[in-house]
Amino acid sequence: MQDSVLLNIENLKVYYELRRFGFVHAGYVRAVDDVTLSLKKGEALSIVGESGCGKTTLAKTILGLVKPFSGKVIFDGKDLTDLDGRMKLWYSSQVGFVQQDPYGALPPFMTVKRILQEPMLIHGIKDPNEQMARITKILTELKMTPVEDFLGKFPHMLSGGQQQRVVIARATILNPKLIVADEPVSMLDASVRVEILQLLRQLQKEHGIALIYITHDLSTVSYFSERIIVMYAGWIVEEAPAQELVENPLHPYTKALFEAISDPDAENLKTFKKVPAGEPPSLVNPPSGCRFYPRCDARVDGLCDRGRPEYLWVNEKHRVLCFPEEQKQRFKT
Amino acid sequence: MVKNNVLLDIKNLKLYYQTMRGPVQAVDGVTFALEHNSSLVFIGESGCGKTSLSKAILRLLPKNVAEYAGEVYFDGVNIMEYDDERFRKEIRWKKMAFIPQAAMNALNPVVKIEDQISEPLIVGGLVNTKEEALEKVKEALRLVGFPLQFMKRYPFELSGGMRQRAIIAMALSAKPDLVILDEPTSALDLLTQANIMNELKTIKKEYGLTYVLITHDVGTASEISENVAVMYAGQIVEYSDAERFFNNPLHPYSEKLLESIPRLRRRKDVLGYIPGQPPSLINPPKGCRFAERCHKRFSKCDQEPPTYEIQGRFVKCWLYERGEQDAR
Repeated sequence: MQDSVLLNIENLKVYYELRRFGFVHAGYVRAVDDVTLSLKKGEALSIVGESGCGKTTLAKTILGLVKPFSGKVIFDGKDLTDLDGRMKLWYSSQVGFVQQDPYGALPPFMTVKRILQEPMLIHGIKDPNEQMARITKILTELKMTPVEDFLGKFPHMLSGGQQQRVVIARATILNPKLIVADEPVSMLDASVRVEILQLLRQLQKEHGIALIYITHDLSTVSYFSERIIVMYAGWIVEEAPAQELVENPLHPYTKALFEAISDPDAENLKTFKKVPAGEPPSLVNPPSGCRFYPRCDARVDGLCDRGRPEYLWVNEKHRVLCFPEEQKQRFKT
Repeated sequence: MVKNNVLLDIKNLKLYYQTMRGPVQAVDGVTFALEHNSSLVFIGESGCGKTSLSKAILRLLPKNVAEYAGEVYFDGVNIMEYDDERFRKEIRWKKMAFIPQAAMNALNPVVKIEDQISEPLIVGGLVNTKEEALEKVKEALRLVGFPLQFMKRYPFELSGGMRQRAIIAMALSAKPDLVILDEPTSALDLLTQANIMNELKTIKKEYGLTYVLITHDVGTASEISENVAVMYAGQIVEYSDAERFFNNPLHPYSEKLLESIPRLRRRKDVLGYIPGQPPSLINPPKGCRFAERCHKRFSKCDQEPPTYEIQGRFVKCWLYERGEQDAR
């Protein structure tokens, strides 16, 4: 079971159309541009990148909330792009979504019990005893005990950590095969982040759910996932197993990201970080050639600004979107 | 602590808010001193009173204040004795500047960047003409690495990082002595964050500024902190120099806080976290406020601990009643 593929994304492009005066076509925002990846059952995958790199658009496409421009998203053998109404309902029971802002994601006028009943009512679990059994089970697993104390509460009566647990409970109550968590802890306090991530990871492992963890916080990814994808300006620039990426980042962008992280250490006071200046490019008119080229410190003029680089496979599981070293050397001389 | 060359000396500062259920003790008896050209970081969970503390120092108070007391010496003068008008005219922005949390909400959306930064200079009477103000604005913008061709733009035309730079430039334009930074980079991207931290370091050195940084991101805090103060439930529970703090925190809360931070390098296998919630500040526990969540709790913790000095560091915990050795 571990080896079978759950989600397969092939050459996915998600473009948002820009319109002038509401109807004149004025170009595209290339939010996700030619992304290919696959996810096995029960695997935890992290997607990291800065804001505007397309990671949330990718998540929304996987959830079926945004229509792809071209390319395929195949979930459990079925192509998402041609799901009809009933299949869409089935699909929504197969994937859970953990939003960034728990308070915004929970309806303020519903109690915790009602919030957790909602997905079951939609998907035809009408027996009150079974509903309660599921609610009790999931809340106990998320350490919201005694369960009775929480059932009657409204979201504003809960702390941020508890709200996020309710969001996680809601996402997992139908036993989905995949959870997409978009910055699940960035709105929470530092001291509860680790706890929430550990609960999510535990839940994911015990139930064999696949997890896509989207974040910009690189320091947590190696703890909570097996594989990391680094995105920049709509491209996947590097993919590798978690530990390998931390030990041996290859793409100049990944290196810069790691360099920018501060571990708590008094030594930081005396040193300056070597980070590229500038900002990610516009996705309406991305630079020709490599999109990281204008900020890259290892760029080779005449090569990197012409044409998209191809993936280099360092080993079976590690790929990087950069020109090979030999080619760069040849260009320099 | 050496007491000469002190810029800011705060004694027993209190800020309580009035609510329906009684006063909220947001800042409860905070005492610390800060030298010229040094930096101090306040770390703590949300709701521990760090933002209230910054507001209390700057006297940017909301309407529902129940109690506001204590002594704040700035360059040897007790500025708590100033009335609001004098404080506004002489201290705020000229001596102490403030960089608020989310830059995108701090800028006025309908005023151009250059006008916005020059406004406090003109209103404060620091310059005589608009041209003079613009010169100062340019200087400040150059300092923070803001491209001058964007000066005439409106805030919404700029990225988050650029807006944050504009805010920093605004705080620096009047050449204050003290800058209070409330989560200056938490809304920004990683690379932008690192860039701005680099710039803050350079500016501090060049202008001899003093920083008070307020953050919950301990990693970023370590970038510009010479001293660290840990706040918990309205009180400072530990005050120490950064070097010893990061290697050997004294208070059990600081210890747990540092344990809970995921690290990239020197990775640990298990991350810790602090169970439970911080106490309500309306009716805080009688004894040590951290006792309920503390893993080293013992019988004495029912009473409020005094602040002990251990080799120049301060810790508010009963474990250190007889010096450092006993606690280990």
